[in-house]
Amino acid sequence: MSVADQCIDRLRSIDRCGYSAAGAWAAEPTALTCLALRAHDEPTAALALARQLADAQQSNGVVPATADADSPPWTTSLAMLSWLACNFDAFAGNIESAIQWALAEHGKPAERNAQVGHDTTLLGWSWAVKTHSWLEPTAFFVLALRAAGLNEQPRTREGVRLITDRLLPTGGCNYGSTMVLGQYTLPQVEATGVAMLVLAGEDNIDPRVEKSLAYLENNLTADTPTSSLCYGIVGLTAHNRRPALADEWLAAALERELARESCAYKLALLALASMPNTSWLPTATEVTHA
Amino acid sequence: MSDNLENAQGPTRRTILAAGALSLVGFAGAKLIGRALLPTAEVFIARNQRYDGTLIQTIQDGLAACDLAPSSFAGKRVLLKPNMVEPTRQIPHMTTHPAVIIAAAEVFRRWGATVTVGEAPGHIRDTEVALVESGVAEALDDAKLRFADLNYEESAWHKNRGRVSPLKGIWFPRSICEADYVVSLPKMKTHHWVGVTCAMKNLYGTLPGLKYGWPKNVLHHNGIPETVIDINATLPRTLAIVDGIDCMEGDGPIMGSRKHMGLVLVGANLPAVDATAARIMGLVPERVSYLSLAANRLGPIAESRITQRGERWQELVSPFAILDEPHLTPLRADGVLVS
Repeated sequence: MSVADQCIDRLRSIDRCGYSAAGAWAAEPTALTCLALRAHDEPTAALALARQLADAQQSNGVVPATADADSPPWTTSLAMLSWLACNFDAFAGNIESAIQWALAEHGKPAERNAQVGHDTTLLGWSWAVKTHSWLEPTAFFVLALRAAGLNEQPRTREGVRLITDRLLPTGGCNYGSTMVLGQYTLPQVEATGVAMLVLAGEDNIDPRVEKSLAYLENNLTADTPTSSLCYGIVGLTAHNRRPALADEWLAAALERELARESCAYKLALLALASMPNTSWLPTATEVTHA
Repeated sequence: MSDNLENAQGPTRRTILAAGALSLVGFAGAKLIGRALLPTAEVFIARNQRYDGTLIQTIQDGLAACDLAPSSFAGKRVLLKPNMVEPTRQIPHMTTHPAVIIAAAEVFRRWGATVTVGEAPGHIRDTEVALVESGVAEALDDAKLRFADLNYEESAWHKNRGRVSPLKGIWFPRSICEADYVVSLPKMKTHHWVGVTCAMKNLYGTLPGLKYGWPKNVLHHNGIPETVIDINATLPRTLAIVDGIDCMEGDGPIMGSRKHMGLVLVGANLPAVDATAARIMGLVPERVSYLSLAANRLGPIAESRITQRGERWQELVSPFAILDEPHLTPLRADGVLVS
C-alpha cells in the first residue's frame, strides 16, 4: 500500500482535523486534508471539509486559524485554496469575500532600516493583524490569489517580490528574516520548501532561487522531520526536481508518524507530498472552467 | 502688615521649616520602613558544573537553598520550559542542553510531581525539527518524558495581569494553563535587541505561534520589555533553573559565540535570577529595559534585595561580549571591557 493510500485511508473518515490526534479543530489541517482528499479522488470527503471551512468563515471573509476566536486570519488563504479545489460555484460567495478581505489586508510595513536586511516596505501578509509581513502567510496568500485567477494582481506580484526578497544570499530562507544587525540568519527547510512552491513558474532569474533549490536537495534525508520533509519535496517537485528517493523518505516519515499516533495535519502533508507533481494546487484555468 | 498677613493667611517661615524638618524625618522613616518591607529573593549559584556531572544534586541543592521544599511539588503538575527558539546542530550553545532538562525533570519526578516538557519555538513552525536539532527529542524519549507542543496546543485567553503593554489578554496553551509550576530553563545568553535573555524572556516561548505567529510578532509590536513583564505576571507560579554552563555571548540569542561559564542558577523569583545572571555577564540589570520594568512589579533586581546562596556572583563575573550597538553599549557595567 502506497504512502498516499495509507494516508487517505486514515483521512477519509476524519471529521475533525487538528495538529494532533486529539487536538481541536483547526483551519490549516482542515484545508490541507481537504486538498489531499480532493487530489486523491475523494471529492465527497473533501467537500465536507470545505464546508467546515465555509462554516468557520466570518462575515468579513476571514477564516480564523482556530475555532475559539475570530483571529488570527492567515488561514483564510488555505480555505480559499480548498474551496477553489473543491467546487468554485458552490463556494463562490465564500471565495469572493475572502479575496476582498485578502486584498484589503496587508502586513504592517516599516521604513527601511539598516538594522534588518529585508525590504520592510514590501506589502505581504502577516500571521496576526497589525503585525509585519512574513514569508509563509504571504506565500499562502500568493498561492490562493493565483489560484483565484489573480496572478497579475499587484498584491500577488508584490507578494512574489517579498518572497524573493526574503531568500538568503547563500540559498534557502526562514520565517522571513535575512539579516539582523549585520549578521545573516539561518535557512530552514520547511520555509524554503514553501517559498520554492510559490516561486515555481515565475521568471526566477534571481540566483538565490537556484541556490535555494540546491539547499533543499542537500538537506533532505530520510530522517528529516515530516512537515519539513513534505514541504521540501513539494518545493522541489514544483521545479521538476523531485528527489529520486522522495518516496522512500516519505515512507520512512509515515512509519514514524504511525508509530506515534499521527494527526490529520501531518498525514495530509504526506499525502500531498507523495504526489509526483503539484496538480493538487488549484489553477486559475480550472477555476475559470469550473 | 506683612507678618499679620502671614499669620492670618498661612504658616510662618519658622512653621514651614519646622514642618519640613518633621516631614523629612517622617519621609526618611517611612522610606526606611518601606525599604524593610520591600520583597527580597534568594538566588542560588553553583559553579564548576558540567553536562555530564551531578546536575540532579545541584538542582536539588539550589531549590532547597531557595526554600523550595520537596513536599510542595508532590502531586503537582510541573511544566519545564527549555529554550529552543531556533535550534541547529551547528550552534548547540543556542539552546538549553538536554542534560539540564532531564536533570530538572528527574528532581521534580523524585519529589512526586508530574512533569511535562513544553516549548513553542519562536522561529520555526516545524517543532519536530527544533526537538531533533537540539537533541531534546532523543533525550525525552530516553527519559520517557511527555513533550507538549505549545505552538499548536489548544489555548485559552487570560486577562493580562501585568497591564504594562496594551494587550488586554494573553493566550496560553493548555499545558501552561494546567500547570501548577512553570519552570523556566533558559540558556544564559546575550540578546541583540534587549541585551540579555534568561529566565523571564525565555517565557515568550510559552505562547502559541498559532495565535501569535512565527516570530511572535504580536509581542514585538506591543513592546518586548512590556510583554515580557505581562507574560511573567500572568503565568502560573514560575521558577528558574538556568543553563549557564555553555552560554552564548555576542550576537545572541541565535548567532552568538559559545562562552563556557560552568554555572547553574536557581531561583523562585525570575527578575532576581535574571538580574544576577546579568551581573555575572558584566551587564547592569537596572539598565536592561525589562528588568527595570520588573523591579517593584515582579521582584527585586537590586543587589541589596537579593540573598545570594551557593557561590557569590561577584567572584564569577566574566563579561560577555555584546554587539557594539548604541542600544546595547549602555548596558555594560562601568569599567568593563568587552569586545
